[in-house]
Amino acid sequence: MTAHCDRDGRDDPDGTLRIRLSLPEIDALCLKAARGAGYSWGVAEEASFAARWLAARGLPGPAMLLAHLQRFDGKGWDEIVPVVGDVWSARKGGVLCALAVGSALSDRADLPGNRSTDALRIDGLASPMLILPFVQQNARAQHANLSVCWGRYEAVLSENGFTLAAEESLVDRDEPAVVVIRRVDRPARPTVAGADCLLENATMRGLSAFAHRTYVPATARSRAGAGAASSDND
Amino acid sequence: MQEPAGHHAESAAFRRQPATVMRLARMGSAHPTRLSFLRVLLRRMKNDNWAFDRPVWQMDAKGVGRAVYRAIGPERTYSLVAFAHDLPAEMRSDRVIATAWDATFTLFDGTPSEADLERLAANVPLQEAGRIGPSELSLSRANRSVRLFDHVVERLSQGRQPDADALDAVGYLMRTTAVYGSGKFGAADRTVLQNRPEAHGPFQMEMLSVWLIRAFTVDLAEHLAAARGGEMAVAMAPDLRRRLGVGNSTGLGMAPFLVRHPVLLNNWVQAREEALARVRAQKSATSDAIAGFRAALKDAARTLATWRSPHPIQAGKLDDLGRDLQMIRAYQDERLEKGPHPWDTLWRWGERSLSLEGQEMLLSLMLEPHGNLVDSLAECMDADEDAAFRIDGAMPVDRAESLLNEFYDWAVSTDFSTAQSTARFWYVSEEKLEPRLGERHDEPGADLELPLCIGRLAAQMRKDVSAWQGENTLAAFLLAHPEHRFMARRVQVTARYPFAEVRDNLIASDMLPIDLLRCKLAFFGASHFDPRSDRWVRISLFQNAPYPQDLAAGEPV
Repeated sequence: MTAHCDRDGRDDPDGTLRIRLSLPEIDALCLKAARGAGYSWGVAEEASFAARWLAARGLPGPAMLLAHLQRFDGKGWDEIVPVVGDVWSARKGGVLCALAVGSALSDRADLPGNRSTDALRIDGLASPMLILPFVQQNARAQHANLSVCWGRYEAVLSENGFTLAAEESLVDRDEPAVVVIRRVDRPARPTVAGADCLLENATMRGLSAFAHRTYVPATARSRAGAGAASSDND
Repeated sequence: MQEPAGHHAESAAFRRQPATVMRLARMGSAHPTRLSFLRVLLRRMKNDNWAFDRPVWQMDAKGVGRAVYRAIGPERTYSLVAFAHDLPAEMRSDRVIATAWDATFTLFDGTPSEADLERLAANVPLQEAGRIGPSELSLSRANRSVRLFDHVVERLSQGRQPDADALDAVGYLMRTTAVYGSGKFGAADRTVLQNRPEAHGPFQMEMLSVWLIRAFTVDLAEHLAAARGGEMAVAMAPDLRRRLGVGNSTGLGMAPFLVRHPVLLNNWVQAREEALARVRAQKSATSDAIAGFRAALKDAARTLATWRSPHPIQAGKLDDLGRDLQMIRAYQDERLEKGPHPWDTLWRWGERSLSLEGQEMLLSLMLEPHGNLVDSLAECMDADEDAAFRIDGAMPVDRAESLLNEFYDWAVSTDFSTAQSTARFWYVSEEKLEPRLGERHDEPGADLELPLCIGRLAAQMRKDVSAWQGENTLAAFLLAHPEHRFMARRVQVTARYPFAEVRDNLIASDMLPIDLLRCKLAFFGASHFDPRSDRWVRISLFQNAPYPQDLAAGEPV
């Protein structure tokens, strides 16, 4: 996969060439990238779930995840995790991580406090679009339609539906924003998930660089142990 | 698998417990059964009257060229596209790091056009370094068993049949060294197959690929024999041909699969265990079932006679199996038909009397004559992994603790402070991006360990949930302890899917990766397990199974 990207990228100084990845490939790449960026394996699974969910709906999930990983690279969990109260915010007024927020939302889907009709406000959430997959999990768990509003965006998530209203360009999609989640009556249009996604080479390279941090350099001993103990020419 | 199809309540009392079934030593003694995926494939193709042909065969006298094999089902056609190459011996390696092979393959969704074939010819021979697309369902390659291949070509070219003992000694003309399926290297995601009845069940498209590869290996040998011997050359006799399967050479790369797909593992094992329980629950043994059992026992003895392994671990197990088969034969001669629940009585005797290798073989033999009772369970072997993904954060922390105590007792009671209990670590090598197993106390890299050390993760989580003083919800605990999020998900999965977890320490000094490989390969339908080290195994698929032309002629599967 990496080799292929490099080959495609050779005549591509701007990194604008694109490569088609299947959803399982996106899953595997994003899992390793999030882990490489320092998230625990369990949160990294949420990251790959979110990137794949968005990619399957025609949104640049892997690119959003990459921007997210770059923003939070080197930050400690305590800095980026929400203090869960009436309003969710970061401990010292910093920027909130969408993976931490998304995981916490999804974990609370069945808690009574989360089923109220009151709106939930989340302050200073970076890459807000990354929480949409988790909000849909909640919509499923609660059999509800949930609206997520921030800036000039509004998404509605239902058990099997998803609509996103936004101006054409997603140029500010990664910027921190105040996000409000509330119940709404109207369900979102049912969506049919796609099976693959086009990644720009720069995204592929960026995620691969994070993933690379999870690999262990080979030693003579590790090479020797990996194969059969006998010849394959028989 | 929440509720097996046609759930038999009376079988509940006869089920084995996960603590018995999910141990590595037993999983590493698994045998193929009639629920194995290749058997499911063959039954379906026979029942649905599939047709087969070979519309393309462009091969030169050196055996270099391309071929297309079609499997034509009631609704759709699938085509194996094969490329045959001239591979120098020094380039022949079964490792995933190889860059050239004797033959390369893809399974095409439909009938490929000339343009498709050109595109595939530019990519499939490159394997991982190439790129396939959404119309491809698998990517695979194979190397010749050089000695046997040459022997067969030479004999056939002289108008003679190959030596049966030589065929049995190897068992295949080619062995695949990887069969990639859903979504790999650009191939179609398995969601594409979701609504196709012919693809229901695990790895059906991969199995179809390998089965058609088997036909290709024989055709290629006969083609080379004809090129060499001209009019002298003959085709292989059907009874000899049938003894050949497709080899497969598998290393560590496959081992993490079962750990990474707990719901899938559960559904495979639970279907098999339910099948065994249904047979044990039979109040009597019909004469047909007894005859079928005897026939299966004879087949098992024939398999054992051609099952060779120089590896000391497997050699010992084969000795045990030989003795066990004799004991089973003596038992069924004298005692099988007597008393109530005769199959259960047989099973209980087997548990007391046979080695693990023999017990798991007995399971396979007991399922064999009970197709009507158990075959529908194959429909429960797929998994909806997404449905099990979300963590229930409303679960009280003390409930998570009691689940850990109940389902991970084997882990929380392990002392992970010893060098032996943490001797290994699983990682991905930078060099080849393949999973490997390192020695924690001698090699660098343990900080980059893959989460396959489930036992230790469970023990660590248990320690922290016990000490937790905060709000009594898993949601609150995981906000403070993101390092336990991975394990928390597994605990909840295991509580719902009892066979989801291998109940052994996968980083212990005496852990054998081949046990994981064998378990998975037996579910595929593999036979003739021949370990080449503690982390590398050769097997055979489809040995003694019908070929496409046999199936079309109505031969039994």
